[in-house]
Amino acid sequence: MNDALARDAPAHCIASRVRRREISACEVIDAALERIAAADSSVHAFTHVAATRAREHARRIDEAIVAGRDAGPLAGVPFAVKAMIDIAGVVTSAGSALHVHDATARIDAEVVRRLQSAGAICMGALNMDELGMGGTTENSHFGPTRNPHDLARTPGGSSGGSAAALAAGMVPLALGGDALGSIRLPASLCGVYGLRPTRGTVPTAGLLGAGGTISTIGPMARSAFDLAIAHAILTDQPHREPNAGASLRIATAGGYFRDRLDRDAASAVERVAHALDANRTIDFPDPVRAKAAATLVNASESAVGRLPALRAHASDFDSGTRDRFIAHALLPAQWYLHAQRFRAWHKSEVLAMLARIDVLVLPATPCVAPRLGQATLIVDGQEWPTGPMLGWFTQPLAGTDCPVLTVPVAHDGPLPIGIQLLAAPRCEHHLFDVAARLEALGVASSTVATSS
Amino acid sequence: MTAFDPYAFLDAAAAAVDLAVAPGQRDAVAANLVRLHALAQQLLDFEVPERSTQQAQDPS
Repeated sequence: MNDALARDAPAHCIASRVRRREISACEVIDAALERIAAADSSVHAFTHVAATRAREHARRIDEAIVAGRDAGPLAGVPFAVKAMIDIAGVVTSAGSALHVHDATARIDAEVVRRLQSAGAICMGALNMDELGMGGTTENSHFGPTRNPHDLARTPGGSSGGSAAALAAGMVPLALGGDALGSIRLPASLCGVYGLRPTRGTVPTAGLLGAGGTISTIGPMARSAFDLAIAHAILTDQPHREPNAGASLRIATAGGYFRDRLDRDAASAVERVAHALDANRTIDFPDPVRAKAAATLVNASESAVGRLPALRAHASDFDSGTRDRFIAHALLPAQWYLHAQRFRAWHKSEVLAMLARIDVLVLPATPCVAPRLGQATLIVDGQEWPTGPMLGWFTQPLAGTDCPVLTVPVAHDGPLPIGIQLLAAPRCEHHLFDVAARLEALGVASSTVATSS
Repeated sequence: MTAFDPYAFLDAAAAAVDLAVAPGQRDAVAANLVRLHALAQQLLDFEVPERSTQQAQDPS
């Protein structure tokens, strides 16, 4: 088989072969649609497959190449987006029954437009927790997305469809959204790369329910190289190839980030620290209050604009989502403002820490993917509620506005797990450099699942 | 310190935003409020230093 049509073909390899006319964009898209048709009945990553639109776009890419025009650095690369991101001609559901009868989007979200301008081809919308409210993608309207590495387990969330589509080999590139960990958490549980970019650097036009001061859109992929290309396109910056040999000051987070880890998660951090020769341990500033502040800010902001629906269409919400939104809509302004005030101070503390190092290594999730419907987790010998525990290590970083990258760590277990890398704002290049070094050392690896 | 009563808070705050909360939803909403109140207390008990809050306002 042509390697550009394989389930695990990286985006940059596909684009390179399409641009050289060794394979057509139409062939790439037909192969992707076949993979989606074969795998998605069991994984259920997609809420909408935009096959006609994708084939039309592929034809235009092929025509451009035949005519000698530059089709872009992602020519012919299939990608898909979290269902909160507008795709022209598709209803933007945000995973909610509230929106399934909305009018279709008139135009693409700016992030979709930018990827398409680079030659990538949008394949459709991906499942998520309803309105981004959750961490397991057990969506009551569209059904649960399943982890391709074990179909009985959650892919994490709320960008669970994005991570699962990558892990199942349906597409090599996806977009997710991250407030408290919704890119980083599923990336860890599905064994893919997920970047929460510096907040404010990725455009927000054409997103449903992604306002506020915490959330951001970010790319997810199966290689650091692909992620770096996508990030450059999304932020309209020149692409800089990751440098695996870059000299960087790297430390590991101590204290809070050394507790509540099971054996898989602890060994992933140790393996990465050892490979990077990161002997220094640094305490991330005040993680418990940082987690509280990010959670409160996100809770208040998530409820903005929801009161009319809570009054008139409460039964259209999933009951758990509805009850959380009601509570969020009632929060006192002083809680929100105090959380923002703490957050501003905390950010200055984090920036002071990041003046001493370039990259901080932290766990991403306390454990591998739990089973769907699993209410509690046993971590470090204690039982914890699943939802809050899965976000234990992503939430304290959420209010910092710093870029954070989840890197999948190669290990012997049957289920994947990742670690997080944190850098100063607009220093994503440090994250890509470290990820490239880990890939080169065989410590980071994203494997397409065989079970799906 | 006055104990936080999530049900009294729920009734007052819901009335303030003209939101009817069905009887079957009250316990779950109250449980969420208790969780969020505990988070808020962690922050309200902490005196944010005056210095440096201004310089970090801009997320970009």
